[in-house]
Amino acid sequence: MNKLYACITVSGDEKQVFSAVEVAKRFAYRIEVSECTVLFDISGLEKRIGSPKRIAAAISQAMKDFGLKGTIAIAPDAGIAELHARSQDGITVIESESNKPLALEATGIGGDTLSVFRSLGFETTEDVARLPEDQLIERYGPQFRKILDIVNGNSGRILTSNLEENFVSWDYKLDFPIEDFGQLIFILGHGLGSVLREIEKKAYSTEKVEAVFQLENGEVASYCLKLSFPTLNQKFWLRLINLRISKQPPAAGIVSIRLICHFAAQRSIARGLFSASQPEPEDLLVTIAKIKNLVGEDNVGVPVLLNQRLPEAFVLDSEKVPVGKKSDEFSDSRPTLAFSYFRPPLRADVHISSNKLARIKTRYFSAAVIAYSGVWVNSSSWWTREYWQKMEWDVELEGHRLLRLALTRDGWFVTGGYD
Amino acid sequence: MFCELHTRSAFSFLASGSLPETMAENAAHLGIPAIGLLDRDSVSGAVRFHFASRENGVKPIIGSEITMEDGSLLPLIPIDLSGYRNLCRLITKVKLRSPKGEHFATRRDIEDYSKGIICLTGGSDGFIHKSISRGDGLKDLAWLNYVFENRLYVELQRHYLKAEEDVNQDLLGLAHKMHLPVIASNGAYYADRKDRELYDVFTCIKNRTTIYHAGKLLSANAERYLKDQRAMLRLFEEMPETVERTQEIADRIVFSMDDVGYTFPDYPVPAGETPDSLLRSLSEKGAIERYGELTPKVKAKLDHELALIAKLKLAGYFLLVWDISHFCKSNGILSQGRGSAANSVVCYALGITAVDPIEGELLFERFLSEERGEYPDIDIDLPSGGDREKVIQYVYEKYGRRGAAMTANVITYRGRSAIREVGKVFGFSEDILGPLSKSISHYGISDFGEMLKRFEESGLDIRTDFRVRKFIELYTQILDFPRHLGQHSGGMILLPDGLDAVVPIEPASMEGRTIIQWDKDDCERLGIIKVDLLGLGMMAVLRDTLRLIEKHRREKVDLAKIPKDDPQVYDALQTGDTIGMFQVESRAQINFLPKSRPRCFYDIVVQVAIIRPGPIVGKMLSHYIRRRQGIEEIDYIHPWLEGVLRRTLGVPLFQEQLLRMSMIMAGFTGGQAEELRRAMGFKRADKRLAKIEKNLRDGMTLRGIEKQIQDRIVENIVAFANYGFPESHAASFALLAYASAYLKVHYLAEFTASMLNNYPLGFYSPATLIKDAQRHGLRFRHLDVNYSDYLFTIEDGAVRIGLKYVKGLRREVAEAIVAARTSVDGGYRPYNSVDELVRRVPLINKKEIRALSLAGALTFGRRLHRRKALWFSELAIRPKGELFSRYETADIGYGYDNNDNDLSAEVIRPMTEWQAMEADIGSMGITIGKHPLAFLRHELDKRGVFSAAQIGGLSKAEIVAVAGAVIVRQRPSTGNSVVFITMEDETGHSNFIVMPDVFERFRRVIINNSFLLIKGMVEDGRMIKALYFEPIGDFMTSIPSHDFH
Repeated sequence: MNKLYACITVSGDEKQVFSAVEVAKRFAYRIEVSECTVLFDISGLEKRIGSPKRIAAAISQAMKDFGLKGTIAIAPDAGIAELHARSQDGITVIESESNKPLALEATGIGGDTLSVFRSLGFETTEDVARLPEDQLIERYGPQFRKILDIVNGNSGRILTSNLEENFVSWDYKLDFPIEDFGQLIFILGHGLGSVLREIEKKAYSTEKVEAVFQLENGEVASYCLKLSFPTLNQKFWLRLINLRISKQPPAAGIVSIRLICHFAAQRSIARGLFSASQPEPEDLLVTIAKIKNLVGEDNVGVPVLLNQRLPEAFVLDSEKVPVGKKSDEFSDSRPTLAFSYFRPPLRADVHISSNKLARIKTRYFSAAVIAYSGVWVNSSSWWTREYWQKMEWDVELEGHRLLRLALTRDGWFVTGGYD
Repeated sequence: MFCELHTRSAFSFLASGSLPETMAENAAHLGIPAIGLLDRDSVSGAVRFHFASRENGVKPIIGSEITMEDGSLLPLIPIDLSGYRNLCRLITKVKLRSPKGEHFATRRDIEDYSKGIICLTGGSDGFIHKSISRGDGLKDLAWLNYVFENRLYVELQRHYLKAEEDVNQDLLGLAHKMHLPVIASNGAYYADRKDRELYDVFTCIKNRTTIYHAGKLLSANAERYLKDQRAMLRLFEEMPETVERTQEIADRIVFSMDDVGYTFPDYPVPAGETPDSLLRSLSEKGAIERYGELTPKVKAKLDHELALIAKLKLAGYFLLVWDISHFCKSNGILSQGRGSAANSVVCYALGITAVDPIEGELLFERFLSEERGEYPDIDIDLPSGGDREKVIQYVYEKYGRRGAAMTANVITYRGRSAIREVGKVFGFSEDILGPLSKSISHYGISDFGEMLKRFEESGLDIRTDFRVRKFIELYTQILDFPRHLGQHSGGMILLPDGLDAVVPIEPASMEGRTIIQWDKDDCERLGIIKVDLLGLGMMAVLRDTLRLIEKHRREKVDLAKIPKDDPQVYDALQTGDTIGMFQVESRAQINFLPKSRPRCFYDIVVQVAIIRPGPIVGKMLSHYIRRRQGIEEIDYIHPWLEGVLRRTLGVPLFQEQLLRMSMIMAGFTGGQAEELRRAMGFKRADKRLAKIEKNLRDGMTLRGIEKQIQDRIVENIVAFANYGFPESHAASFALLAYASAYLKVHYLAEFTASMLNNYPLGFYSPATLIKDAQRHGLRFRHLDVNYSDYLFTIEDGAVRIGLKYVKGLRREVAEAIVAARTSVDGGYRPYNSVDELVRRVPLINKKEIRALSLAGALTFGRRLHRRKALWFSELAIRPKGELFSRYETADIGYGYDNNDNDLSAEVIRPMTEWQAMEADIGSMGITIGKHPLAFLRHELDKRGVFSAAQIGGLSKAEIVAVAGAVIVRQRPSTGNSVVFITMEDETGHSNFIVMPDVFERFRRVIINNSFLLIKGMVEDGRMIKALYFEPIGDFMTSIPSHDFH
């Protein structure tokens, strides 16, 4: 059977490539996808559809159905089909015994040599084909043979099907809707075990699991759990899923379950014989998940300092796992104080006497100011409409409380305290 | 009172948001009695700061922050002149010993140059702050105290920052422990709070980042502005003595920029001579040579000048300049003094200048005047390139690296650089900044309407986009801010006994050169004399032309003796056939020459001076033309002025005329007259001018001049004083213009070859120069490795293209090609094949041999065409295998070159004439073949498109279409946004005037295309008013053009 390949190029947009793959799936099962090109094996389709031209027309129609715009090339050689699709507009069909000239740029000739060929007056592969091969090899070395093969319509390119799924899924349809999620734990555990085993078999791990529930009211409840490390610990995943779902249970009875586990490279752990034991990240994560359940998803995380001039130049990274720091990272020998931010800051009434802070009153306390330092002034973001300026004082109140006081456009606030 | 002792200005380069003048003005506004400018390793803003402070009634204190080994800064302030000298020497030492930008001072340096200097401990980037954070505070403070005993002050700065205050507390503890006085300062980086934004922008530029990514590099707040006593007392409430103490220090400092220890340079004289006597004997000897004898008139002039020179103690300076001039003569280097020096008989007699001031009736007071309190500035034109460098290096050698240096040129932010750098800070992409900066350079830096339009074209709107608004604000603010110190084009300061004690010297970017930290205006304001050694491309052309004439025609042409009334020269000038001629080749000159029709040398002097903004704006040009053509009657304003204005037909053109007018009409002395000229040159001259105008009118009234005449005289003076050209300068330039015209007319081949060899120079591209020469009948020979030298040469009256123009061909390779053509016994040994060339010139690389093939240099007696040569080159330069590399020098030709039966011959076809032209322009930027337009002529004829030659026959108001290659696009500052375009075709040039609305409509077509078809209406003088533009031809090439310069 003669080989025949088709190639579609579309714009690099992810959706377009996805649609092009769907088009290719209509015609082939061996498909190779690269950035904006979908190359597929259509050998044998002549019997079903007809001549390569008719196949091209059918592919073109399929592309129209998907609302796709792009180029199509069909050739007995995968590489040639790809080069034509990439370099020529519309539809190009190369019959088995013929060859069509290609623009030299499309052949992958290096920029230097290409410019020489241009100066020699060569525009297409046809021009180069008229030169004695030995003279070309003499000048450009044996590696030019590859180009000559392309010139002769034989790229030697092999289609490598790469359209493999990068996840494993498990589906289960329930006989009747179940409202209490707790009743599904066993089934879910079974399913989870099954997909995790599948992943393990392929020498992968996972750091992202999705649980999708079809509900009896026709809606879909979807939960996505993403970790900062891969793990195949079934018990752990199940606890996380349980914690997450118990926090936001589905709005109606569940009628079907779909579990999706995405592949990730396995975790590498290399510990010295005498390294100090530390909690497994799974344990820590479960604890964090429990805390998140209590205080809210966005209020738990690892503080990450930002290299920006902002009123509070840090963010909470809720997906990051806290890690210990080596002691030598603290180079400053001065003692440091821990500071707790109040969320939200406490509105305060400040009494000023003789131009000095005298007393602070909030809904929780009222105390005289023993000493204070400041004012500390910070401002930035003048290049945006969000210009800000903050004035702060460090205040010692009677009873040895050390607080930070801020004056903003909205008035006085106690923004936090020193431990 | 609080005195701010520690500020920075924009002369710390990218580390301050204010100019020194603004600092001084704000200090005055805030009632600060004294202010210290301590720029980083620099005193380059000191002169401007000093005068601005004086003007504002503030005591200026000059110092510098010295970069230490750890990158911290040590603020130093000289107390007296010895301290200032030490500071200058310290900066010079650290700057000269390290590569540019990598300098730092060691502790030893500080110890060596600490005398007479006060040291402050600095702010958060200061030496002691860094020491404290390292834990070495006590040790380092003790060292400073040892070095600057009784001259060390612990400096506290408070900017409402917690971390800073932490260190302040440590510092206070140390100060108490060591009983050191503490002072308050605000370490001001900018004059006003709002300047913080510009300071942040500079931080981004310095760190090559955007405002969005700069993060903590940006300032934490806007507190580093100049603060008054009240604000400082509030900050240092608990220790007001730190604020008060600043006054004590300010009082302690007695150094002032009024006396930087500069004295006029001396010249070593033989025993028994004084500089004055030596100058007199040299001048008299020179005068006899120049004039044949010392006539009473010459003697009187010499005596007058020498007496003044002696009185002003300037003999040493004249001798220094004479020495340079003498060096040039003894080394066969053409040199010519120009500028106001040409007014001096002494300079003429010493051979410094070439114009006879007696014959030219030039006014000495324009050059030197006792009343003016200024000192002369002698400019010497030298051939640009190697000769000029020889002279500069001679000066360095003679006066030492610490005794001579170039003046600096303060490079400031201008339209393009400001757009690009500020734009990058605001994160605008190249897609936006490219066209924007291009359009700004076309429209001038202040046309915001155009800028907004360009933004709108990119989809950005000032009304909605805050970023655009901020960008424009900061762009406007940054204009004229110093960016870095460059090198002045030729100004040198000489002080054999220690220039480095007067001003710091630092390395220039160019190897072997050093610069001082002041520019020419600074030097002038401090009364420092400079010598300008200016490189003039035309001098090099004249030199080379004379050499070529001697070589090929066996004629020795002496420029001093060429006839001044050569009819062919005046024919060429009168018809505007002046491409390549010095100063008279511009588009405006070519248009004007047929109207003014110069008939004598003085007409050329006028011609050089009249095409300038002053005469054009002041309508003097039009009066002159009409009077010249006899349409308008000559009017001398007042009969007394006839003598002064006769030669310029009653139109005042020269600065000297202005001086004489004031002297004749108002009885001004030479010095008063010169003061008048200078007052008008100042931007803010209102007060000065009003006073001088009053004196002028008083003088005229005293002489009985009617008010109406007075008004006209004042009006005339005011109109051109700002831009007027010195007659002496015009005369020097006219000499060169005439010489270039003479050589072009009589020795076209030699002149053209020299022009091309000394490119870049002049107004036109080499391609245009070649086409012009061809139209004058000059033959060119194509580039050939067997005949071409590196430079253009003359062969049997034709010009052979030189290898210099092959793009990408290194000079050493070109010279190796030429050298390898000569055999050991001196015989000619041509190359026979590409392969042989590669073997005999192993330096040559792949790109170079390809370029030579395409330029048509490898035809080997027409045996190969360009493409075939390229094909063989590809074989000859392929990497050799191990076997062949052993036979590197053996004669093992591959034999393809002569193999006519080679199969590739059928495939590789010769280039068509058109392709060859494209290859010429692509590989060399020039072609000696047909003009690109000649290929299209047939088609253009069919479309009724005219050639340049055909335009001459058209009458006014006729509509015409002309096609050509654009060689000039200009928007002169005097032209009310009108654009002038010159196009070239195979028959000559056509000129177009484009009104602003038409230009705006066709802006993209005009700017982006090298070849245009323009439809328009014929106006006066073959000028066409353009109405419509379209690009023509499928050209792969682009023609170099002279755009918007």
